[in-house]
Amino acid sequence: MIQVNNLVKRYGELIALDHFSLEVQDGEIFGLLGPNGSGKTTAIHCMLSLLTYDKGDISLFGKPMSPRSFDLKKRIGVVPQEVAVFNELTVQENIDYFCSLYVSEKAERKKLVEEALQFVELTDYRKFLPRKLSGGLLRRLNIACGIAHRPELIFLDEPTVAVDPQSRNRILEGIRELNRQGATVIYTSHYMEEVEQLCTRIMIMDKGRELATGTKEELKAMIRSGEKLTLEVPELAEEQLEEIRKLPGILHVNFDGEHLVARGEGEGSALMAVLDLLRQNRIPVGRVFSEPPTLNDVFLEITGKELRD
Amino acid sequence: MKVFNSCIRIMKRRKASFLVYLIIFLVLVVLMTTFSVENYSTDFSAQKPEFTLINRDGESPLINGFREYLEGYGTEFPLPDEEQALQDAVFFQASNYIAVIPEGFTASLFGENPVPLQKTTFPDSAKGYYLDSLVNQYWNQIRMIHTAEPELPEDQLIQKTAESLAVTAKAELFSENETPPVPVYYQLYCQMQGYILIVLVLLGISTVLMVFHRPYIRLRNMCSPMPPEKVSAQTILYGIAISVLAWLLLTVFGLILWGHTLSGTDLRQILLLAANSLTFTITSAGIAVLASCFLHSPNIQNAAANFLSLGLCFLGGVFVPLELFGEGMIRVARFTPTYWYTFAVGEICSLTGFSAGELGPVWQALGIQLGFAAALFCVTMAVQRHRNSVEEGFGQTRTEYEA
Repeated sequence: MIQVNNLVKRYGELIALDHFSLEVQDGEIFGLLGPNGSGKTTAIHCMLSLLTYDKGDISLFGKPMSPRSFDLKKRIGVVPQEVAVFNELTVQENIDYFCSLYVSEKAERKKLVEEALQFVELTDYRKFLPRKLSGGLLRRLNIACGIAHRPELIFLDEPTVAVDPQSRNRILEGIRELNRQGATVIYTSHYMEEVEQLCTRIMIMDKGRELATGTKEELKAMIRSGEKLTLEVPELAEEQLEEIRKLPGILHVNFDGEHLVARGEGEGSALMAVLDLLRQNRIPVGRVFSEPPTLNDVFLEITGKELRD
Repeated sequence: MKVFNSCIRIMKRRKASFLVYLIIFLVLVVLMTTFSVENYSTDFSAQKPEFTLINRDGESPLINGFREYLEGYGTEFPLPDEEQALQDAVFFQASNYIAVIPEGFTASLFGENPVPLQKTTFPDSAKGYYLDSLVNQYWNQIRMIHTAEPELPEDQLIQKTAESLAVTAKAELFSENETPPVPVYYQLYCQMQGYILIVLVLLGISTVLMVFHRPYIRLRNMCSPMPPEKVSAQTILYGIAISVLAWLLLTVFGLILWGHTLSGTDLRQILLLAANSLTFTITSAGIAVLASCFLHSPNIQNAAANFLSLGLCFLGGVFVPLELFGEGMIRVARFTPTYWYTFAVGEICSLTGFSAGELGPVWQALGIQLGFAAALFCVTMAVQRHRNSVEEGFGQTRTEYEA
């Protein structure tokens, strides 16, 4: 569906994309994950031929993409990062306008607009002007404008920024539904939970480069870090801490006076071993938390910094 | 035509502010037209300067006749016969002319050494010169009639003098093939029309272009399979439609308001005035398109509409007759399209024929206005190109379309 080879994009001295390559298969929900400024949006703009680039090839649907590839553009839907709607047109008029850029036949368009309204659950707001909508509803309108023409390939650039959790869940469910209906989705975000929850394959990016690509399981398998154990412990002597560090399958241990945080290694769990050791030393244990490794851990281990700076 | 239809729809949503502007400005234009007529009037009416007559020679028929004669041309401003009061009156120009009839003036009038009349006036005062010439004329005439008929009694002498001075020469002006003048009200309306045209065209075009210039709207349009030229063509079509609509509206309004005064006016002059305002509409569209590149919000848009329209119209002589401008001011005004618009209005209204020579300045003014429009459109394209080259497009990036 999408093939990007060795893409290089410079803004003066800054290299926004550094030999960036990507391959997306038909029917995937492909996530581009990276911190702000990592090159996700630039990559999308290059793929859409909105930006010139210095080197590389891009092909969509097996054909090279150019600004005048109108036959390809007809099959693509774009949901930009910012809410891009006309404040002067109603919800329905907005969807109708953007749909009309793709579909000229009036009766067909009417049907598509109606479907899009139902899809984003904005039928009750069809006569509303965008300024009367809440942030979440606006985001849904933004999505409706991008998908009303039923595209085969949808680019969603951080569609859930500044959206409340309820609306976010509805948006994510909508994206899954679009994928079930046959659309291939390219989804960018710096929210790792979203990407983890939604995407079938994920690329982690930083500084315009691909760091790792794969399913979430494959990505997590690439790193040494395993589960993260957090135990409420009232006190702990340095010798006891040293004993925990020496336990097999433990990578790091940290104690802040209240919480003992231990990072396991690989897929196994060191929870029982830690609990046994604390019991032997007659140290009371409060609440216990166990978290599997996240994409943030993957990013942290690869780059040495947190995904959310 | 979806883009065009959406432009119209956006305009309809903003029609309230458009109509408010239209009504306020039309009322303003009608008021200004009515009150400015005086400045443009070519009718003549005689002024009555103020004079003071101090008689130290005692009352006599000759002096009374002189006073009556002066009252026919001026208004007497009585003053006490005190030196200080007379000096103050001259200094503060309370009276334009003070004539003091000295003692023995009447007795010596027809003798060999007449006592001269004492006259005081403000230096270089036109009214003073005017009254002085009347006074000289009167006494010279009296002396002349007395010389011719020395036996004539005083009352008859005064009567004959008054009759001879009342005779005026009759002058008639004939000119062949003269076009009746365009009524001053319609001329003024046409002139003020320039102001409201700029405002309406600027608001009409920038309201929509501002929306289409928003970065993410541009992004969405460029991602679509509709070629950008097609989007531009439809927005241009909208610009033409709204400009022509504004021009039509104002032209028809002018004809409704002042049409009854145009019965004797040559149709060609009316058509030329319409052509001039249409040309200016095109120039206004150029201003609007360029201004839209820098407008981002309705507040800035309203401020810009007022600033540009008022500034250009004051400079261009829409509100103040060009004749009242100094040479330096006119030199600056020539660099504004409004100057050439008002210049063309003046030229068309003063046309006495339609020969190539007479129409030359009109065509020149229309051509210059079109030149301004072409220059404005070129500058707009250059601004757009520059903006793209400094990567100020959506997401701070440069699009390939405009690269």
